[in-house]
Amino acid sequence: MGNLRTLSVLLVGLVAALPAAAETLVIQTWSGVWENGARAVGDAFAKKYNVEVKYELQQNTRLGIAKLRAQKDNPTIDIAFSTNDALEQAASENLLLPIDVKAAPGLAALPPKFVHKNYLEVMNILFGLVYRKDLAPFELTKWSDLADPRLKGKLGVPTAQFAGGRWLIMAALANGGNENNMEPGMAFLKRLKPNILSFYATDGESVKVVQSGEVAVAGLGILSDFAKLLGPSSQYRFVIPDGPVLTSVVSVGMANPKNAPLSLKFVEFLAQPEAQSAYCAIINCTPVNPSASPPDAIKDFRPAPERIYAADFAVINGKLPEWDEWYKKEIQAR
Amino acid sequence: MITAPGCRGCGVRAALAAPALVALALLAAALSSLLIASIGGTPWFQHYRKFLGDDLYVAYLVRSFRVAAWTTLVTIVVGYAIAYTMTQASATTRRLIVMLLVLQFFSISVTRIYSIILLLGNNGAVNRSLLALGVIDAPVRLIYNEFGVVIGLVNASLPFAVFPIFSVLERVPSSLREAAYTLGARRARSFWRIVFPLSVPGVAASVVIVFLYSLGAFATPLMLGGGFVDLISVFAYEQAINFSNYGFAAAGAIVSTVLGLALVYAFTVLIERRAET
Repeated sequence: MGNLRTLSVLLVGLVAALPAAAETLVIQTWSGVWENGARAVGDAFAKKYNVEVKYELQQNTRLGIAKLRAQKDNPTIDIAFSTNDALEQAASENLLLPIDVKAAPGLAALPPKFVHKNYLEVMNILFGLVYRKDLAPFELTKWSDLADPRLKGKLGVPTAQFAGGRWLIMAALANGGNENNMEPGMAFLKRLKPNILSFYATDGESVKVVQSGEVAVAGLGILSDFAKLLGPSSQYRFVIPDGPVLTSVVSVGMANPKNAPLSLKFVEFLAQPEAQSAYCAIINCTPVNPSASPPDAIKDFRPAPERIYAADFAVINGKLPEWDEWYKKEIQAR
Repeated sequence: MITAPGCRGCGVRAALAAPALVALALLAAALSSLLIASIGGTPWFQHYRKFLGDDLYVAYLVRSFRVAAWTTLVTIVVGYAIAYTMTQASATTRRLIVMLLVLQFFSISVTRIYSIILLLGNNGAVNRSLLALGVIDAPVRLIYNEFGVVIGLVNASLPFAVFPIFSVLERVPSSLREAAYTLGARRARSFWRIVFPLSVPGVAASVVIVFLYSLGAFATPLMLGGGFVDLISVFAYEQAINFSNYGFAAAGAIVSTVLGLALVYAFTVLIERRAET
């Protein structure tokens, strides 16, 4: 009996001496440079709070949301990196937890307009037109240049679904319209049709068609994708024409109620200037935290805040299937 | 273990059948959920009505079957030629061809498709060479159309044609051809009258595999079609993933599957009848 008691005491002591199993946070993000950015902040978070961070990759934004939808009743993803329009959609489907601002005082570091009920906007991604100096017949400076007949068969443009419909919205904005008045944009897109060689559905493809020289001009590209190709001696040019600027906002949402406290801690961590600067240094984006600074590579592209157009994605998400049908019939058909 | 008299091997058969039954049950469950999603909504069958009532969506279907048919035809002709060459070639050449096909089969599809773009694209090696030689004034559009998609699909599906045909051709006894030659038949006649009829089962199997593979292709039409040649799989992906419209995506997929299976069934019946006569 005495031996048994001694053994029990030893066992209890042994278990107590073992390090407690670390809490785990699962982050879903895009691959490539986006994964590197998420890892930079995720690994810093893991170190600071002594937790384990795991990463799951999404092939694209909508597949990421589809994954959240598929595991709605038993989520394994704690934090979802996505875009504001996609998280707006996810929130409308009750896929995201509410963000308890009172329990996360660190969120006060951000202007309130970036803190939404179910997600947090963290960094701005800039859009513009991209061209290759060695292949384009002239220097492009404005959106209307895309319709120049000299670009016949040299233009690649996004599909209607690219980046949540931003190509269509940009076409409308550049011609005096907006998401509630798409006619000017549609007329402009019809004028582009003779110039279009091919369409791309993802930002990865937009880079490939320009890099391979398949097209001389990409109608809409993401600065984060092209920043590494730019420079004074580079053949690549990224132009944000005058007028309203459309951005995409990298945003994060919390999906797993079982891990809500740790997820909230991460969201709070991501709002701080250090994390924002670290993420944007890799992604080449603009932090929304006013105390954080964007990387030097994109400082010249930073538009004045009043030029940034706040699109209504509740309207866009609702109308996009209809616009997509129109685009396929009128623009994508030969 | 107690085995009923006269049922030796029943246990083994049951053990072998179990995984097959599980796989079949999973397949049936997946297809059932697809069917239910496609019918559901208010009013019932609305997704089918929309899909079949709009030229835009019917065009996906027509394009998919047209591309699959062309791909099958070209793949079978090219695949047959390769398989036949393999039967006539030395062991070393045969091994080399098999190696190339296997290598191509296991290569990453996106890389393979991208290499076609680098070859046949506007700025690809072919167009640049033709421009440099002065044969053309402007790049010829070899991809971003159905032709380009068919080229890509033929490239991807060639192993599916070569191996079944080769396995049948290999079993045709050379003595049959020799007998034909002895009786005065020329090479072409002996091929069409003896070799080809005996290889029809391999050709038929290849037709079914290549056709169904092409009908469901996704990455190739997406990348080589340049947005102009989206097939039914692209439609289903966009509706299900980008628009969360599962019912509509399912309706398109069901229509395509049913038509595809009906065609395959008709084809196999035709081949069987021919074999009987």
